Amino acid sequence: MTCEDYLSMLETLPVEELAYGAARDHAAQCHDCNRVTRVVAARERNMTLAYAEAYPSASAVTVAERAIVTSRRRRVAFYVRAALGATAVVALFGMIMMRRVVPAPSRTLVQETFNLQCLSPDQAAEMLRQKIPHAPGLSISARPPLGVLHIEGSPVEVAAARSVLDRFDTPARSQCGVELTLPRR
Amino acid sequence: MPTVESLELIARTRDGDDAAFATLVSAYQARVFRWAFALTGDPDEAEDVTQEVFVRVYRKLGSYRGDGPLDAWLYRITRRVALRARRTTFPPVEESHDVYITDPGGRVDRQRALDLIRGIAVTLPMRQREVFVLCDLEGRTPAEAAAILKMKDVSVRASLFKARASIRRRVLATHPFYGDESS
Repeated sequence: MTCEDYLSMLETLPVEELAYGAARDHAAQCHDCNRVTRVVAARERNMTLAYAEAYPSASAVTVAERAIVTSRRRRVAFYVRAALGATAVVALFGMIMMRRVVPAPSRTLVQETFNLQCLSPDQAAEMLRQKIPHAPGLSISARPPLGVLHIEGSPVEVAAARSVLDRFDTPARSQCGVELTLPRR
Repeated sequence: MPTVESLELIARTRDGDDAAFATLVSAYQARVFRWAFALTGDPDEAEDVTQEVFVRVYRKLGSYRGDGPLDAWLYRITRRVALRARRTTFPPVEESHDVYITDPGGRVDRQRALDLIRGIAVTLPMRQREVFVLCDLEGRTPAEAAAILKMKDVSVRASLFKARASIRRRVLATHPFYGDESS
């Protein structure tokens, strides 16, 4: 074994493994390789010693106390953050849901103006309120001077009002339809 | 597997016994510090990492199942914390070339010990450093190191081979009868 072979083994093998066979024989004969081996062994022994001697400066009790306090604080902080997060999520969800609520389909309103033949607007309005009592959406505007009645409501309600007016706002059924018969001489 | 004493301490800590946790910390603090130091290369940072490791240990003891080595569990926590905390560049190190660093009493003073470990941290890439620390400095077998690092045995051996070569080259390079430079 040459010095080169020996040193290449020394580069990678544990020093203890060089204490056997040809390596041991070479180290026994070669003063330089032997010395280098001892240097490497001493260096590594010192490294191991140094590693084992490395101690933290803080005491274990202090580290444990700090760890417990910090851990508990973080747990509280975690719960607070979780609660805040949950609140934020619920609030956001509520806002989104409020925006997403589908508006009720808009009520189709129909307007119609009736030209009254016999009844006064007030009379017609009063009569419609009596004849169609269950029509909360029905809006009746009596405009006395014009002799017209303006009605606004759903198609069904307006149709009902039309029907009522057709029946009662006619000369045949109203006071205005009464023909005066003069006595004959 | 964790020792019976460790399991006992863990169980008592879970039950709210803070003194048991302090005992657990005193049993593992130095080891965690050394790992942290080897991983970060900075003693101050290693102190912070050690503290953070035990904060996490206290928090996660409830989830520790006890079916694997406690060492391995602690090492993985230390590694995660250290890698997160590690600065990208190490502080400049003036490495000691003095081979005989022990005093006649055989004790290594703390500063030299720290310098030596920092030297390892600077010299070796992370994986090689971990393997070198676990195998050559702590005396574990490559198989044990592989279990802790969750690596293949053969990968551990390859990393160890490279780490040793790197460190030996540095040692040999400083030797007056062998290297280019003399110390």
